[in-house]
Amino acid sequence: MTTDAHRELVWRAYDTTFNQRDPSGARDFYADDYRCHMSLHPEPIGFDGLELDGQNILAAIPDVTVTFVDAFGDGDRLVVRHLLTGTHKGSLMGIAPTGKRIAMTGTDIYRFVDGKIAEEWAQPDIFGLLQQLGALPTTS
Amino acid sequence: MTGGTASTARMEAVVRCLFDEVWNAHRDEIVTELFDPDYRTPAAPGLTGGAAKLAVIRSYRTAFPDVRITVDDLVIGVDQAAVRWTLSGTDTGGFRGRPPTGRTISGWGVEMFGFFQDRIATDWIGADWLGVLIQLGVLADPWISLTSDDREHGR
Repeated sequence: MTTDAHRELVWRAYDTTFNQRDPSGARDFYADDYRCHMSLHPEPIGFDGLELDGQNILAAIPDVTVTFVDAFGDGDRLVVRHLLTGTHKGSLMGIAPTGKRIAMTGTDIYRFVDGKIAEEWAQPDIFGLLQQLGALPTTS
Repeated sequence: MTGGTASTARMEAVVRCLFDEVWNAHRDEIVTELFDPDYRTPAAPGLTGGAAKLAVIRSYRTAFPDVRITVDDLVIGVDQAAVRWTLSGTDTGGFRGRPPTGRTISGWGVEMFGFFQDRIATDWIGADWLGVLIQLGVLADPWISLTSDDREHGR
C-alpha cells in the first residue's frame, strides 16, 4: 500500500469512529492482533480497548468531530497529527461535565501489515485537555 | 529530490545529529547548522533558530543533568520527518525552579519536524508531559482516584 492509501485507511477509521459515531464500525480497518501503545493505558490495548475509548469520548463529547492537521509517511508507517473538538457534556475521565468547548490534539505513528493498521503509538494531549477543563490534579 | 527540498538522507542525518550529537553528546555548537534561522518554539519565546532549540534542551539538562534521549523510530516523508523517542533522566537539578526530587523519570514522545531546504524549520511534539509531572510528584495521578470499573467506563 502507498502512503496515500495508509492515510485514507487511518482517516476512515477516525471518521467512522468519531464523525459517524460508530466506534465498532472501525473494526475492519485494524488487524486482529492490533496493539496500541498509549501512556494513558499501562499496557498496550487491542481494538476492544480502542473501541471503549471511542465510546467514552462519544459519551463525554457528544458533538465531537475529528480532523487531520497533518499526515505523512514512508514504507509501512504513517505519522498523523489529528484534532478532536467538541463540547464537554458528559463525564470524562472522572471529570464532571463542564460545558466547555475543548480541542485536543493527538500525535500518532501507525504501522501497517497487509492493508490493516497493525500497531499504533499514540500521544493524545491529555495534559492540555486537563488544563482546558481546569482539572489538573495537584499534589498539595 | 528537487532543488528546494531536503533529501531523505539529509533529513535523516539532521534528525539523528540533533539527538545523538546535540542532546546526548552535548556538541551544542552544531545545532545552528540543523535549524533554519527562522525556527521558533513556544518553549523558548524570543529566541530563533538553533539557539531556540538549544535553550529548550538546556532547560532539560538543568533539571536532569544526566538526561538521555533515545531514537526508537524514525519516519521520513517529503520535507517532513518524525521521531519516536524516549527521554529519561534524574531530577537532581530541580524542574522549572522546583527543589530537586532525586527521582528518575522516563517518558516517550513523537516529534514531527518540517524542513525548509536542508534544515528544520518547524517542530511539533506530542509527549507524555502529564506522566512526567506525575512521576516528579508535581501532579497527582488523576487515574488513581478512579476505581478500575470507573476507568473502564470513563466515569
